[in-house]
Order: sequence, then C-alpha cells, then structure tokens
Amino acid sequence: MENKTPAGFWVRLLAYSVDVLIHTTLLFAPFLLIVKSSTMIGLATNFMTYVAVIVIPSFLLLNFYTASFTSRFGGSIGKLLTGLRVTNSDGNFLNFKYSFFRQTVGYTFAGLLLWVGFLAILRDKNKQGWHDKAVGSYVWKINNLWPLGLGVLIALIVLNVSIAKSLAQMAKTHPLTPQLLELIAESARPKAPETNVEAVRSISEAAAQRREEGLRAVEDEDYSGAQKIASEMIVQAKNPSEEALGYDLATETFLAEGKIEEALQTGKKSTELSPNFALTHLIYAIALAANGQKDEAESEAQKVMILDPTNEEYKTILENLK
Amino acid sequence: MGENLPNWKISELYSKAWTIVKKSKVVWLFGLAAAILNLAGFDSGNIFSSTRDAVVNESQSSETSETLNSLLSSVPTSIYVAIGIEVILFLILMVVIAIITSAWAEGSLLNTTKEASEGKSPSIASASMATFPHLKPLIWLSIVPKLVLGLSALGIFAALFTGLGATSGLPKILLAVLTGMAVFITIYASLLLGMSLIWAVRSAVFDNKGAVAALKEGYVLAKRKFWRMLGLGTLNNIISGIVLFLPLIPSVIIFVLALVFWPNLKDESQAAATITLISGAAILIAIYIFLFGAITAFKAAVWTLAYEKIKEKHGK
Repeated sequence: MENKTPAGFWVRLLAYSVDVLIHTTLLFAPFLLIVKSSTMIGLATNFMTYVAVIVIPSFLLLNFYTASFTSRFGGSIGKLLTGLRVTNSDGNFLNFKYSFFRQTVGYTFAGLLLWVGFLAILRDKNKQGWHDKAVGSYVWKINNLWPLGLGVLIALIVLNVSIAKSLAQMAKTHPLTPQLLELIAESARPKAPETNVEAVRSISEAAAQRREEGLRAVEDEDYSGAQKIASEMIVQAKNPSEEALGYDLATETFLAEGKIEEALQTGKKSTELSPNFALTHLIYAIALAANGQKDEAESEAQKVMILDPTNEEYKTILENLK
Repeated sequence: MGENLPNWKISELYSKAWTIVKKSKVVWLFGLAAAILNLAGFDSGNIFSSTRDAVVNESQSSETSETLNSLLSSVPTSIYVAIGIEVILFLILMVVIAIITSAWAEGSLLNTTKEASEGKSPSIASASMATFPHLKPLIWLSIVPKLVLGLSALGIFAALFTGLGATSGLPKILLAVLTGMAVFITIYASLLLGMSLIWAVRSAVFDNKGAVAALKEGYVLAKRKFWRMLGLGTLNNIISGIVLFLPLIPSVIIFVLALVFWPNLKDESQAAATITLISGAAILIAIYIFLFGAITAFKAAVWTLAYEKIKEKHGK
C-alpha cells in the first residue's frame, strides 16, 4: 500500500453503490423463481420461503459481512473492486470490533443529520467521514480501479433492469396476475358504511349538490348532461357511498330515458357499493318495479324500511306494487 | 468523603456551559446525537403506528381477509418459525446496536464537554476515542441499575397488590399503608438513581472507574448533594421547557391566522399559503433539531462543570 492516497467522496460513493446493487441483485433475482408458481398457494409458500431464506438473513448478516470483510481484506466487495482499503491510523486493517462499530454506530451517527456526516468527506483534509473519525479509520485508494468499479456498477444496473423487465413480462402473462390484482384492489378498497346514517354522513356537500344538479338536468330532459354529471361523480367519489350516489343518478337518468336494462345494472351496482345506504335500495326498487320484478322490488323496498324507517317513499313503492 | 463537598454557583455553571455550547459545534453535535439516540431507543412511538395499521387492516372486506388467511395458512409452519426466530434475532441485534450507540453518544458528549471546559477544542475523533475504553461501564450503567430498580419495584408492587386482594380488615389497612409508602419510596429511589447516574457516568468516563464503583460514588455524591441537584435539575428542566416552548408561540399564531383567513383566500393564494406553511414547518423542525442538540449539550455541560467543581476541592 505504498502509493496510497485518501479516497475521495465520489469513488467511495461508487464503491457503496456497487455494494448496494450487489445486495439488491441478491434480493431481486430469486423473485424470478417465486413467480414461476402456477398456484396461489405455491406463490404464497415461495414468497414466505424467500422472506425467510433471503430477505431477513440478508439484512441480518449485512453488517457482519461488511465488518468481517473490512477486518480481513480491508473493505467490502464494492471497496475491493474499486481499489479502496480501510485502515486505522497505523495502516493496519481495523479489527472486527472497530469495523462492526464503524459499520453500525458510525454509519448511524454519520447519517443523523441528513447524511451530513458522509458529505463531510468532501471537505475533510483526510477525506474522513464522521464514521471514520468515530473509529479513527482512513479509506485509501491503493489502486486506480474506479473504471472497474464503474463497469461492475453498470453491469449490475443492467442486470437489475433486465431482471425487472423479465419480472414485468412474467407478471403480465402470468395466469395468477388477475387474481392477485383483484385481491390487491379488494384489500385497497375502502370499507362500505355499516349503517345508513354512516352512509349519509360520508357524503360530502359537494357530492350532494352535484346530484341535485344532475336531477335538475333529468327534469329538464338533458339526459346526456345528467349522465355526464353521474360519470364525474363516480370518478371523483371519495368513498363507496359517494360512488353509489353517482350510480343512483345514472339509474334515475336511465329510468327517465326509459332504458330499464341499463337502470337495473347501475341500480344493482349502487346497492353493491354501499349495501347499507337506504337510497340505493330505494332507487333500485323503483328500477325493479319498472321492469315488472315485483318480488325483488318489494324485497328492496323492505330493505329501505329496515335501514331508514323515516323514509316514507318505500311505502309508496310497496303500495304501488300491490 | 467525610468532609463537606464544595458547592457550585448556578450562574457560574450556566455561563460556562453556555460558552462551551456556543463555541464548540462538536459538543452540540454529540448533544443532538445523544438526544436523538435516546429518544429512538426503547420508547419510540412505533406502537401507535402498528395499532393504526391494524385498524386499517380490519377495514378490509372479510372476503379478502379470508382469502389471504387461507393462503397464508397454507404456508408450512416451519417457515413461520424460521421467520419468527430471524425477526427476534434481528430485533435483538438492533437493540444491542441502539444501546451501544446511545452509550457511545453519551460518553462522547461528556468527553467533548470536558475537553471544552478545559479550554481544548474537542473533535469527533478525540471524543470518540476517549469514550471507547469506557463503553462497557457506560452500557452497564444505562441498563442494569434501572432494570434492577424496575424489576424490584414490579416484584414489590405485585406482592403488595396480591396481598391487598387476598386480605381484609386490619392487615389490608396495613398493606394499604405499606403500598402508599412503597409508592413514595419508589419515587425517591428513581429520583436518587437518576441523580446517581448523572455522577456515575462522569465518574466512569472522567475518572476511569468501573461501573459498580462509579455507581457507588455517584450514589454517595447524589445523597450528599440531593437538594442542590434537585434544584439544579428542576431549573434545567424549566429553562429547557421555556426554550422549547418559545418557537411554538409564533408558529401557533401563524397557524391560527392561516386557519382564520383560509376561506377568504383565492385558489392561487391558498397554494402560496400552503407552500409557506410547509416551509415554515420545515424551518420549525430545523429549529427544534438545533434546540434539542443545544439543550442536551448545555445540560451535559452544566453537570460536567458541577462534577468538576465537586472534584476540584474533593480531589479524585
């Protein structure tokens, strides 16, 4: 190590990036095996095995690996590839204890104030970061190997991108993708209100006003205008009840237009979205009645009675059905 | 330690401590590290976030939960056991690192305050290197005494409450009196332990004492200086409370004004106001980071100077 010079910020960042990408590749590549499962159970088992065998151990052992490599060889793989060595003030490799301390406590300390402790390498005359100062370590450039480090970094980036591309391609054509997407969408969907009061409360004033506008358009026989408002309400809905309200407006518009089939579809959708919202059942009951489905309409009207006994309209529907 | 210990002058301590914090960036830096690392140690608020997650999960539809449950229950148990063991090992490792980091930050902070009080210019390297030989006693002092006191108190209160539940009449009254006394004794013991540790860590770092010897010396000093320490500690806390409260006043005024005038603002003005508020919040966070570091460093410097004052005449 005769021709050593203190290693600067950028070459150290390069070495660190190589280390990070090696870890990323290790985490990323096994995914290719996981996605080969053709059943949901196989997928779940493979994924959990991956977590147990790769993910947690890699994070658990990361500090030990870096510390032992630094104490045995003078640096992690990234540092060795870029020609860097970590030593103490005597020029010897750090012992494991100091190396582990540098890797854990030192890095925590250097990262404390938005990584200022690492940026300190840029200005320090010995190019020491706070983690170096904490253990009295120095990082030397013993070989001008940064082109090799850069080459490895590029190769790792290409490898990771190609893994990501393969994964994306496999995900696109995988038979389980629709099921998984449905599962994710289902779990992300907000919960429908549990009572009519809750449903009514969850509707914002703006949504209620939009519905009024839509109903006025229906009265004026501006059906396309009303449907436009209904579509906007569905898209802009902030919760299932607001979305159901949009479908209700669409149902009322279809009914006014005499499009009973469409009204039945949107009416049903509305009751599915917010099953405890009395209004949705009321409008669906009207659509069912218009289609001559007396029993179903009666059943929906009774739901209105249970959910909102103060609503008198269900009585009218029930009487008309007799 | 039969003779009278010298007393400190609070004004003198404060004036010197302020000079130390003002002049040395490294003292402030270690003050910040000690403050953050102590906060992030064992009392972090993660419990709240996990509770919140649990509530969100509950809101998923039961169909989804059932599907997920049946999928996850199809995974062999051995995999879950392995994950459980690994997670425990990971948590143990994190706790050990957190304890070491916290002890090191505290030791380094003490060394910087000592160096600065001696007129030297402290550095990260000098403070850290001076701390390494004392890491073991510092770690011991940060865990063992509190753990022993906590477990003892837990055992005593468990026995007393069991006795209270199982007895009646005069024995119950006696046990109730004993419980009341135990409460006061626990408060006093906690206070005394906290004070003893203030001196003990300094004795370990500055006088190269082992953990037990340092704790003993800390206890003797704390008992003899109990009321003076209580006064200084209370004053420290009042001052830091005021200092931390001050930046809140303009922030609250700005926030209230924003709330009052918000409805009258046009869309563009609302966007500008939002950006201003976010920038203000960022500045406030930066101010608090600075203040936390400064206050922790200031308090450490005050106690170090007080320790030196006691040791001055008393000798090491």
